[in-house]
Amino acid sequence: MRLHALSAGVEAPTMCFSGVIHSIFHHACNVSLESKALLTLVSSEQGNLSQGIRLGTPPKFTFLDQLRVGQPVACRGGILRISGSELSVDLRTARLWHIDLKGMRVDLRQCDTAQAWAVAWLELENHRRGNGISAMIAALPEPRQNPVTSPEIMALVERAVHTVSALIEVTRTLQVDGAITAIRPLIGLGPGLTPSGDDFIVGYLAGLWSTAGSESSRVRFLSSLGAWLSQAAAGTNAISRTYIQSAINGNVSEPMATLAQRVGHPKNMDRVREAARTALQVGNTSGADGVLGLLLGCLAWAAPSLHKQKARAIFRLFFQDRRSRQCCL
Amino acid sequence: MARATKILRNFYRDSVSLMQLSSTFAKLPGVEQASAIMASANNINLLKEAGLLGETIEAGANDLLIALQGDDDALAAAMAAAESALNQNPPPMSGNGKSSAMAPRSIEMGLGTMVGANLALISTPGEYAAAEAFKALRLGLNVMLFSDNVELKDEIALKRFAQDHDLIVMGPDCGTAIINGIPLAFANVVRRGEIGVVAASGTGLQQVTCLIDRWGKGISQAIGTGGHDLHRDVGGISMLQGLKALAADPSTSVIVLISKPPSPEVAARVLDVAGGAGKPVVVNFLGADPEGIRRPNVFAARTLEDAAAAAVALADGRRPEEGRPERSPFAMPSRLVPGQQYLRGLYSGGTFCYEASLLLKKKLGQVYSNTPVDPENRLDDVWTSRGHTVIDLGDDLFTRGRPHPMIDHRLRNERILKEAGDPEVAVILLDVVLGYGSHPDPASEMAPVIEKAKALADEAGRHLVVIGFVCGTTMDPQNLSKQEAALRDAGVILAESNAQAVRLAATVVLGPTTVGGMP
Repeated sequence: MRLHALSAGVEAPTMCFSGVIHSIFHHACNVSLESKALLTLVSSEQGNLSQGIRLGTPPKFTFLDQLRVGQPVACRGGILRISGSELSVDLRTARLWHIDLKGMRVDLRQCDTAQAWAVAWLELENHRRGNGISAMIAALPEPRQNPVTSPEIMALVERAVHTVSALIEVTRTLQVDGAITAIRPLIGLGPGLTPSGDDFIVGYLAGLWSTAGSESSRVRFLSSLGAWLSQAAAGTNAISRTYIQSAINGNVSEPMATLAQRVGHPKNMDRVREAARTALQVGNTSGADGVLGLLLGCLAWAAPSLHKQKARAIFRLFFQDRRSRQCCL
Repeated sequence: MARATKILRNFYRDSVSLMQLSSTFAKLPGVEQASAIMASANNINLLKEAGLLGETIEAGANDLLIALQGDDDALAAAMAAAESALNQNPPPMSGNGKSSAMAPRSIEMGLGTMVGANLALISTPGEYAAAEAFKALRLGLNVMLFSDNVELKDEIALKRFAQDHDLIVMGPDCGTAIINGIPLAFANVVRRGEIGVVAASGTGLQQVTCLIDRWGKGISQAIGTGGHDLHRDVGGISMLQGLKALAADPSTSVIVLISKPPSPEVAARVLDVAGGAGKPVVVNFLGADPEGIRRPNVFAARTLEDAAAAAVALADGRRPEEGRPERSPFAMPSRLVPGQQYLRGLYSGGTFCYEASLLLKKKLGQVYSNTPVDPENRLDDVWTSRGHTVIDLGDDLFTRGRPHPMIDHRLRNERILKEAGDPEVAVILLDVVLGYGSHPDPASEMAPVIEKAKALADEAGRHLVVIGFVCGTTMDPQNLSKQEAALRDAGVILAESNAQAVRLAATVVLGPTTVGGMP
């Protein structure tokens, strides 16, 4: 079966590379490249990834039927082939996909941007799925509605609540060491293939890059934090590490980047809502954890007045109130 | 309350599946707590904090950890259910991906079974070769084009396309290469080492790589370019690419370039790049004036043997002039009778023949050939020698409708007997090329004929001198020592290289009884 690539992320190779199939899912598969990086192939209904290639797949296509872990893969002349599989992909048809977070300059001092942020936050609140950080912190989990909630999840929430609130504060004051201390316990933490803590970090970095603009102190903060995180990401699995590495470079998945774009430059609130819902639907917990990170990341460098008037109120409401709720579980 | 854990190494399932797995276990009777989670350090601590893990476990962030807490019996059943659920997914495949499908009938099909290939060796009749080479290049493959009779315009187009796509075309008419230690087409098994070679001459490349191996050094890469690469219109594209690649290759410390003299503008370009390679470059442009080649870090070699010796010296950190192998006097009584005055070189290697013509011209004056150094010395009838003659039996004139003389010795054997019957012939000069692609036992084909030729001369009251050299290594499949022993037994005087064999042959013809400087 010869498939054609619809698009390729800015970090995805498309001409000459070799690797092996690393992991396979229904709508995605990862290729471990010789460079040790992961390249993700996704089916057409999935969003773009900076390190991924989106394929034009037929209805009911699943990678699980086509591939096996360990199969050698090579791309020569823009044609990707998998040894022992009839599947091949013409990458020459791929259009470059890239949403530039660094150039987005999201400014929550703008009324419509602040309103868009609030719309997205509301969607997050209403999204009651999974048992990741976001679900516990933002989406009012009810034990009876969520049979998986367990002491382990309670421990997770306990840790995340402290960490996240501290992280925002040290980010606001550009304390790299403080940020490292705050992020360290989140790496590889929580449920999910890409653990909840990692998804939060990816979203948070996206939020920071979206709002950093060209302000040199913020860019320096992100660079220093990114340099540490590149090493520290060894504490999580290879798939999750790839997303973190991309986020360090200012690249995230299409649903996340689109949400950042629509919050930052809203044309109408329905489109913000739509983007938030799309982002929240990713995976079991990943989408919500990432959206939580993104929205809090966007808020971290907002003007102090905004913190006072809106953000602190939101934090108080969502952290302290939820924490007390969790303790009652 | 009992606990149970299971670790699945490098095991990935999407988040929804993991959540479903956890949820399923938690609902099982007798199971109090269940978690299917990636085993990062933070998650292991989390599970310990939650009381799901007591002991230290050996697991990494890429492993899936299933942790259960509940009744003993229930945990056993839950773990069995977990394994069953996980086994519903495709099992990991540890094989090498080999397909049992039919043998490939196209380059594209070949890539289907060997997806990591990055080079195609094309050996089709010349009229189809360019099209196949283009297919390979468009598939992102480097090309070794063994085929000859490819039009110059096609060669130019192929090489420009390759250059634009960061690929290389070795050929057309490229008979030899050694890439990453793998001999391709007609090539010898040489040890790996620090000397890289780029050659527009197949047998030239073989001679230099074999001598380097014989003198204790090895080859990093040996890149063939095809004989037309340094033509003005082609511009030395492949040689320049090869040169730049070797200059950038950390495994290569010395570079050797081999070619017949290029067009002046191409030579200037190649030498400019060689001078800036950042490592010593030995240049053997056969017949070119060494003074026109020398420049800082670029060393001129007059013969293939000199080039190999210079490269070995440079690799040892010595100046090339200091690097020539030591020679000892070599005594050989001459029993030639009056009238025996000519040399007949019967070569299977084109570059050997050309090098012989160059060296003999200086020693003997006029030397006829089907591939002469000077056009006026071209043989009118290639089937009949005159005066001093050297013949390239691998020339198209001789190979139409029959295999190359490195593979099929019949034509040369016939010619040996013919020359032996000529009362004016004093010396027959031969090359014997070993390695992949060549005849599996050339001495067995040649020795009986050489014995017969010498006997023929003896019967006529003459003494026929047969001088040769074996281009090969001890690791070649033909067994170098066995080949050399069989040839010596047949009465062949063996030199170490073509240049030495030629000088010896010339000296015999010129008549001294003692030859100096031979090994």
